[in-house]
Amino acid sequence: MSEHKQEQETTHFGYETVDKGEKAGRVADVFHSVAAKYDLMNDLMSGGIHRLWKRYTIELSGVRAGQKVLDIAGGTGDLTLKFSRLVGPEGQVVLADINDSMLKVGRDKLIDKGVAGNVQVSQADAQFLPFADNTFDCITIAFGLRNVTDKDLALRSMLRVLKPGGRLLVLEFSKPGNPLLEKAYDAYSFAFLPTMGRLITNDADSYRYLAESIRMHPDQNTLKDMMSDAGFAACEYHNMTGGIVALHKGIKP
Amino acid sequence: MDPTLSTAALASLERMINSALSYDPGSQQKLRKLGSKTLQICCQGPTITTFVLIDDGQVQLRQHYEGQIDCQLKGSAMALANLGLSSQHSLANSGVQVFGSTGLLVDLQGIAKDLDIDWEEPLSQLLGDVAGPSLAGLVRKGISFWREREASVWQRSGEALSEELRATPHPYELEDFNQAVDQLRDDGERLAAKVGKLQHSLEAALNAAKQGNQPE
Repeated sequence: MSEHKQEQETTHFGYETVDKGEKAGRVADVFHSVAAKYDLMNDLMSGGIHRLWKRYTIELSGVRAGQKVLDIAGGTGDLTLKFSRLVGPEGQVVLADINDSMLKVGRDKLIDKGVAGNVQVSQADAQFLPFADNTFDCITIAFGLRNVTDKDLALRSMLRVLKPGGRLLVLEFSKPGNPLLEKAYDAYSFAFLPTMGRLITNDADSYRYLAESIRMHPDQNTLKDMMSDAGFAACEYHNMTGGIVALHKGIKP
Repeated sequence: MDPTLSTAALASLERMINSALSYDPGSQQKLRKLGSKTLQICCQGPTITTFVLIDDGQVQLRQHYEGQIDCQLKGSAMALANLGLSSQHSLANSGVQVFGSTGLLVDLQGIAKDLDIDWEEPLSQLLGDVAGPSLAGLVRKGISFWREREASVWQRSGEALSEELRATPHPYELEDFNQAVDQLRDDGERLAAKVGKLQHSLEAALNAAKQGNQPE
């Protein structure tokens, strides 16, 4: 088997190289394991800053009343909750995630907060979105793209279901611009996160995967190029918290 | 500025404003009567744009907004801060430009001026039913005392500084000085434009002369 073909059939799971068919199952195991305490861990790991990153994403989405929004890898529904208020009763928000444990937590949380009527829940793979062409005004994927096996395929799938003029927002961990910040961030990710994961969810491996998957994810400019290659126009990104997180935006021409 | 910092600042300010409004139902009611309105504040030094969205008696602060704007304010940070803090309605000589509905601005200024927070409830929640109302009474008296004397305190302080101590110029002198600076800046810009125009004409004439001297 040629080296190129072998490269095509394998992918990264953190720092490990695994068969493409294996990654989805292993990512699913991670999220089945952390789903119940996902929100608590997010707050603890980021010191609550993830709320600010999501708030900025909502602002840049430009979502208005009556629009249709797809929240891919929506997990526990933080963005869906905000979008459901913005689109109002005339609009629609689809909370999609490949992982049923995360979706159950998200659906229950939304119902507990009284969100119903304009929200649908869908178990869907970002690479093969089960929606008609030109359906959504806006698609968001927050902290989900790095877990997708074939990111290019997922971006093309998102482009297909977006309406012309619709926008994609990718909120994802990225590469800090400052070398000192990068060192501090590395120390925090590889020493502190797995320890915290072990103490709170009794699962250090999942949080080690989180740190490793962030390092293996494309940096800001690579992801921007990937979005352009997939067919998005006016691609741009906004670094947040020194580049620890970046928000990429692209428009369907 | 890193969007995380600006988002944190706006989120905190938004929470503070809405908390204050929740303890002043009168102001919240007045805000509710305004309906859905958007005010854009463009600070030009440092360059910061903030959108104030008013809806259902609540205030939202954003850095990005793509909907319709009802009123737009433009000015320096100092001029905008002065406008927010002063009780006068006139924008003359304020250094702030207004586009769109000035009525919205007047309404918001009125609501901010008449804001009357019921301190008893938040302080009772914080300190209990005995200390809370007592402290709230003191806060209320303090605010009322300050409101009654605010204008005269500023006026007397100003008079003492400019007329008795001669430590600061009189406001009229300052205004004349500011106008002179503005005039100088405008004259400078006009002169730069004229010099640029002359330079351009001179270069064009030189090029034409060079082309005329070239042998055929």
